[in-house]
Amino acid sequence: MDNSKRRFLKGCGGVIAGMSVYTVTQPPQANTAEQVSELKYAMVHDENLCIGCNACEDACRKVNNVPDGVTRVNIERSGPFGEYPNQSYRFSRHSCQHCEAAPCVKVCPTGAAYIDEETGIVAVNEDRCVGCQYCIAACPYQIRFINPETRVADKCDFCQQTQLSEGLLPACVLACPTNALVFGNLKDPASALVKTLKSKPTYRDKVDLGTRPKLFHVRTIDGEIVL
Amino acid sequence: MSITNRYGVVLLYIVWFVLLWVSFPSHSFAKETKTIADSACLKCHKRNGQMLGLHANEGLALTCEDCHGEKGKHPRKGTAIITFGAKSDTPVKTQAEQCLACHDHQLLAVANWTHNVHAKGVSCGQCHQLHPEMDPALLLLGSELSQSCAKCHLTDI
Repeated sequence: MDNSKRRFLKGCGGVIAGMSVYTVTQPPQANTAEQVSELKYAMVHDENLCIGCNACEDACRKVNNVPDGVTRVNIERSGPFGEYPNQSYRFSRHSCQHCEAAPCVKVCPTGAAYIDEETGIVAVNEDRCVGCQYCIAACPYQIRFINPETRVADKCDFCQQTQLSEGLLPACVLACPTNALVFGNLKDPASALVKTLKSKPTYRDKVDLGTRPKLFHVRTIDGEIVL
Repeated sequence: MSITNRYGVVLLYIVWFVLLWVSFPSHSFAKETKTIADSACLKCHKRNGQMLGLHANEGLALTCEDCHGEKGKHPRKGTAIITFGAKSDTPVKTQAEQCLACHDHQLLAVANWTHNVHAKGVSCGQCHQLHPEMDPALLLLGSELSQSCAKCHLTDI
C-alpha cells in the first residue's frame, strides 16, 4: 500500500518536472512564427505634391499629444532654388522609416523597441523603456527623441495607438491637403500605396546601410518640362 | 519717520503717477491716422475705406492714391483704380507691384519663405489685409497657418 503510494507520488513528480522542462524549452514564439502576417504598413511621401504647409506635423502633435520642442514628423525644407520670382523649394519628410532591420530594435537592452509582427510597425513599449537613449544613438535617420513628458523614447508609430486602432488612417495622411502622403499595406496589390509605388519612381534614405526602410519618397522634379 | 516725510513720499507717488499718465497720449491712434482719415475718398468710402492698420500711421504719410493709384475719372467707368484681393479685376502683377514698391522681396522672404513661391501667381491681398487694425494673416499661428494653405492647395481624391 505504502509502496504504491510512494510510486504514485514519484510518478506525479516526474510528470510535473517533465512538463515544466518542456514548457521552458519550447520556443516562445513557435506558434506565431509560422503565421506570416498579411499586413505590412508603409508610407510614400510625394515630394512633388508636398507644399511644406506643416499640416502633417500639426495634426500629429495634436493626435499623439507630442509636446512642443520635439516632433515625430518634420518636413525638411531646402531652397530657394532659382532666381526671383521663379523660385521653388524642396521638401522631404523626416520621420521614422519603420526599417525591416531596425538598428534601434537591435540595440535596445530592455526590448522596449520592437517590430510589431502583425503590422511591421517599429514601435516603443513605454513601460519597458528605461530612457538609456541607445536607440537614439543607433538610429541612422536620427528621428528618435526622449519625450520630455513621459521620459521615454518616442517616435512615429504610424499612429498605431491613436488612429489605426480605430480604423483610421494616420493623422498626417488625413491632414495633408494635397494628398502627398500615401499610407497602406505593402502586401495588398490593390492598395493605393502599392499602386503609387508601381506608378512613380521612388527612393528610400540610406538603403546602403541595410536597414530596409519602409518610408518611400518620390523625388522632386523642378522646373518646366523642356522639349 | 516724521509725518512730513511720510506725506512727502505720498506726494512723490502722486506726482510720479500723474507724470506716467500724462506721458501716454490719449487718443494717440486717432491722431496718427488723422491725415488718411480726412481723405476726400472717405466721403463715399466711409465703410470700406476706413484705414485702421499700420499703414495709416502718420509717419508713413500714405494716401489712398499711393496704393490704389490715381483717382482719374473714378467713380465713372474706365478708370485705372487698383483694387486688391482675390476678387479684384486688377492683374495680380499690378497688385503685387504696388506693395513691392516699398517692400523688398528679399526681406519678405526672410519674414516668410512662402512669399517666394507665391511671387508670380498670387497677389499680396489674397493673404494680407491692410485696412483692419491688425492684418489677419499675421495672427495665424501653428495649425491655423497650415490650414490657411489648404484653402487653395486642396486636392480631392
